[in-house]
Amino acid sequence: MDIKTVQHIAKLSYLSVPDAELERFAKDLSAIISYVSELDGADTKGTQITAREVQTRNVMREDESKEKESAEAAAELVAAAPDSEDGYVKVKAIL
Amino acid sequence: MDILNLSIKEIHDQLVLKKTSAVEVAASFIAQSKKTDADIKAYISYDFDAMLKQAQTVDEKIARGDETSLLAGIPCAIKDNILIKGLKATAGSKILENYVASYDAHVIEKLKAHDVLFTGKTNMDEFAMGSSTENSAFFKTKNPADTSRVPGGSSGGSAAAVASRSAVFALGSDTGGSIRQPASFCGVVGLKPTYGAVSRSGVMAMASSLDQIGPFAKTVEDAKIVFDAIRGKDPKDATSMETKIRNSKFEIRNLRIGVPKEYFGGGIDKGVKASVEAAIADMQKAGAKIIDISLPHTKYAIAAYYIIMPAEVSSNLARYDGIKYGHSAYHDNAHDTLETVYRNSRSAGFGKEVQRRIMLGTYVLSAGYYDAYYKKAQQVRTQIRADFEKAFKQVDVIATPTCPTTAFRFGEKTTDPLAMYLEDVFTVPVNLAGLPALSMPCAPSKGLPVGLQLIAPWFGEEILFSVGAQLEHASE
Repeated sequence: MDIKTVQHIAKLSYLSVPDAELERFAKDLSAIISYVSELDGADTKGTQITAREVQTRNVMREDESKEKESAEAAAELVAAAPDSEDGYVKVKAIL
Repeated sequence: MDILNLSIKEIHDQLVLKKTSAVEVAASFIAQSKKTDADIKAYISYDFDAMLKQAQTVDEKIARGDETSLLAGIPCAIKDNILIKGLKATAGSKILENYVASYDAHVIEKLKAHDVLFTGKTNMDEFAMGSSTENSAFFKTKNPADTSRVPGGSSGGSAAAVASRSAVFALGSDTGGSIRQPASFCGVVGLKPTYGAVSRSGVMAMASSLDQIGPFAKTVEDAKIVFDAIRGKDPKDATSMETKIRNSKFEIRNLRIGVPKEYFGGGIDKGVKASVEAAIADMQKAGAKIIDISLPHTKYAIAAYYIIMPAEVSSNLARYDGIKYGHSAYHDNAHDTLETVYRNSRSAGFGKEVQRRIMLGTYVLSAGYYDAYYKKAQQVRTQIRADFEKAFKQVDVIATPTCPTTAFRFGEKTTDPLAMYLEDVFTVPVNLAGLPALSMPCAPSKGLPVGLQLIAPWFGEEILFSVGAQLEHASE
């Protein structure tokens, strides 16, 4: 994996890697990618993928608000955000 | 009698016979923490005041003659990626350094209903990514068996808390070996339950198709008591299930024990091998039939794991963005855009290993690579599962070493991420297959603890407890 790829992947991951660390990440990630590429040797022709670990059914509930609980919880959750206004989490401009 | 070394049932008996009180039990464990933890550093935070208050409640219940749970008044440590309402939950990360949990994890609700005493939150590799607890953003935890060595990881703090006797039991999480490997290194019992046996609600998700919460304890019986208290269906975790309790007794002399050749070759330490083989010989002496088996896809397990796990990590850790909670770059610069806040919050908040795994996951899921990596890994996962399905037609339990080595020294594997990953070679296949497995101490090698791993069929925890307890008694 070259430095350009690391920069691209970092961008997709919403991470910024300082220039001084690019080479190190490239080296470590390359070693791991080269190791996991051992899977090329596995014959998986016709094998299903493991899509889920256990057979489960969807959990349903009535679509109703739990007002008291949600009002208290909402205030607590909003309070954990770095900025808020009138009970809403405030964010920066997108552009 | 030293209360610190008693089992859950023994402490319970002392409490109900009023030979001691829950407040005295709490005080003994607090004193022990103060004595040992300055050096061991098993905990990120303590909760002694609440512990003493809860102990008083337990004593009142006993005084009134109320029926009390076996776990009432028993001190227990909780890994810091499991939420206890009102307490900090850092997951060993700077990004959550000041995060306070707004609800209880399902397992915590259950333990609270049993009147357990929480000693505190234990140190861990950041977001459970590591095998030595050296990736904690805060400090290193020492192995109580040899303080020049790591306790294993990622639940190193929980294992060290039980081993240093500052808690009777502890909870950890296991995604690729994070309960069993530190249990093995510290010389305690650790259980990774069947995927779905214990609700994951309230544990910070790392790799959702692999994560399970489980107990650390001094004895197999204690691990069973804790497992029985925390398992079961929870509407908040769609993958959780009610375990059927089988009342059959599993006598070692009636069992077929499978020994997979793939777990005894290559890089395994000679002392570890000898110790595990001696434990298997003990089972044979007790009348078990030992059967050589093969799990041929074992060699691909780590490679498949290091595709599937980072893929899930990259998606699960997207929630840490500096917007809703945790470390945020929001106030750094008034003119920053949303994207800059994301990027700067995450880059400052996440450590190197976490960033590495997020990028790795993003890479294997990115356009053009999905089939070559992710799809292939999920196919290999099916084959690993099929290996076990086939083996369990022949045998009742599989016995292996938990780890290829005993505890290593600090810094020994930190410069090479891949060397650290290979630590999990014997534990990862179990997670990929969703099986239950128990690590329990067998004979030490050069003075260091060695773990015997017992693997049972899906939802076969009872077999593990039964075999484990018989082995414990045989070695007494």
